[in-house]
Amino acid sequence: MEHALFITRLDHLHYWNGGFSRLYFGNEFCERLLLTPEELTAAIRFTFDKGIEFTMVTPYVTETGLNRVETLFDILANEKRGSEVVFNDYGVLRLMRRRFSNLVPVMGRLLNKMKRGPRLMMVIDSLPETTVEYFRNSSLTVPLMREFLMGYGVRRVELDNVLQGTDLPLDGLLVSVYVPYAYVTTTRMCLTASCDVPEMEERVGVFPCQRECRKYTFGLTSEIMPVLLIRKGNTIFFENHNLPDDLEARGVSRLVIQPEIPM
Amino acid sequence: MKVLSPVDKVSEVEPLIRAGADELYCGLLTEDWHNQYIAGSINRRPGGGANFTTFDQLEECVNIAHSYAVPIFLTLNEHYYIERQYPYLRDLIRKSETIGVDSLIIADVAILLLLRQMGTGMKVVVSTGGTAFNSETVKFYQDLGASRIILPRHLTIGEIRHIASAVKGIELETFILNSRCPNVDGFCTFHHGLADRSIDLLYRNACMLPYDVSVAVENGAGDMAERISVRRQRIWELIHVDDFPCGACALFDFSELGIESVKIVGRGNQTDRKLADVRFLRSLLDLLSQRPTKQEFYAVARRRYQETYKRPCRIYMCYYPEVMTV
Repeated sequence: MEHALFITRLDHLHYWNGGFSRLYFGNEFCERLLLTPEELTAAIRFTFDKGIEFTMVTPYVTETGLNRVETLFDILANEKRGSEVVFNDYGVLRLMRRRFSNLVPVMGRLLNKMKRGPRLMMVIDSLPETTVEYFRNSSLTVPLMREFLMGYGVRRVELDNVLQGTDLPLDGLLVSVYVPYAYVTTTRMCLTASCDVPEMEERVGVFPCQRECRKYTFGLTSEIMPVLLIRKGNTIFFENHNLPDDLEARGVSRLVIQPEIPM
Repeated sequence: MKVLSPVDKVSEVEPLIRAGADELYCGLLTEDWHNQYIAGSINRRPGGGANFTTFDQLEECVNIAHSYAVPIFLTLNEHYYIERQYPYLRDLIRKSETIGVDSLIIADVAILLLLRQMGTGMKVVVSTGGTAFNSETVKFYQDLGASRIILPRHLTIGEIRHIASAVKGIELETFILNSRCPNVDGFCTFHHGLADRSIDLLYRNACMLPYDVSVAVENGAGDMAERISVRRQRIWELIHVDDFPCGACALFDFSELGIESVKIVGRGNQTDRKLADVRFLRSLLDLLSQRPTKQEFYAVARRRYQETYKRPCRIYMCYYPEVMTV
């Protein structure tokens, strides 16, 4: 089982230890938090120093973000060809296929649409077997989809450690599982943006921010949610440390460890 | 620019067209599917009230609409389906084509691949669940045979302009009224519940729940952030309750950008509400044809919104809030 360290900020490199053979670096949820060229270069240098593999993580992007991603790919393809890129936007995958065939695409967890809302656990025991099967699976069970991804050079998919469990393996695809933070939902109408500016109180939309996500973390509780929801930046997560014992037998070949909420 | 309206009942088809709808979209939830997958929706609307329930009803809807040369779009837009569901889906697609459905609205790449494999003659519209935030994603779907893309709610007019200027040969559709989902639809993995504040919390849309909010701060006090966040959380709940979110001012900009169609959300809404929505937009499109200035158009759109829905414009209910600074 490969262990990868996933960080979103360079100052979290202190979490690295010899147990990790790969570094994941980047943000999945917000293009404003895309790496700078300097951050990317520093992370690549770190992986050379430690003799480990590198995976760059990318979010879904607007036209502006796409241009920035392309600049980063130019750097990565030159400085560490063969690196992985986690894509969470099919446009990013298409860009890779068009221009960056020496980078390896990995399908991000945002594109695997399995339901993650923890409230599901409050009713799952009363659902028909066919419905439970639905919630434990995704479109990756469909051979057409797997063949399509493989045609695009995708060999690995990223999964959250969902509370209801996941039916595995997925024929032909390698699987990574993220722990302990699973994402539930994300938005561009970021509630954390300007969350300490009274004049912006009612501004729920795509507005400028001062990276308040780096300062504040919010907890959301409800009587019918079995776990705490954590809102960090523009995304809601929950924490799940419980992993099945037979991960490798179920086709999971990589654990992606998030020492901090990945924002 | 066309107005795309929801329709849930055969009796609504003709009134909606007469009110000014150019296109209609609907869902079909049969007893077979409902019994097997109950909470696993076929089209993001788990309730029967937002769907036709038999193929006969759907066929009648198609026939009436076609007698007015109005196309019918069928939603098959759940974010994913699993292999076990495919025999049912193949059958549904074949029957839909047979009875004359014009387009399918889909969100799952695997369904797009299935449609390509089946060689259906129906047009394929990629739902907002397809999360096309940039032109490269639009082209990705275009490569796979999509003829229209519904852009995500979470794009500014400027970002939509960037996409529109970078693609060709594919129609773009934008949201214009109702259900301003606070989360990115295609990346939201909460189970889609029911948008009704009177029902049990267990079955209500998760973004509408009255959460208690707490805050943790790195290096400092967070009193202000906590107070503001509680207020914003209440707004968050409200947006999805469907308190008349609107983007009608942006019709002016969308017209300039060559947007093909604007979407009224509202499968499951009462007929009177659907009719009011269509009439409101039709009147504004008629006004646009008289070439008003942007300021004149915005002023009329805001006045008609307030007259139609009996509420003021509010920034958090505005689909494209940048227009509120004009």
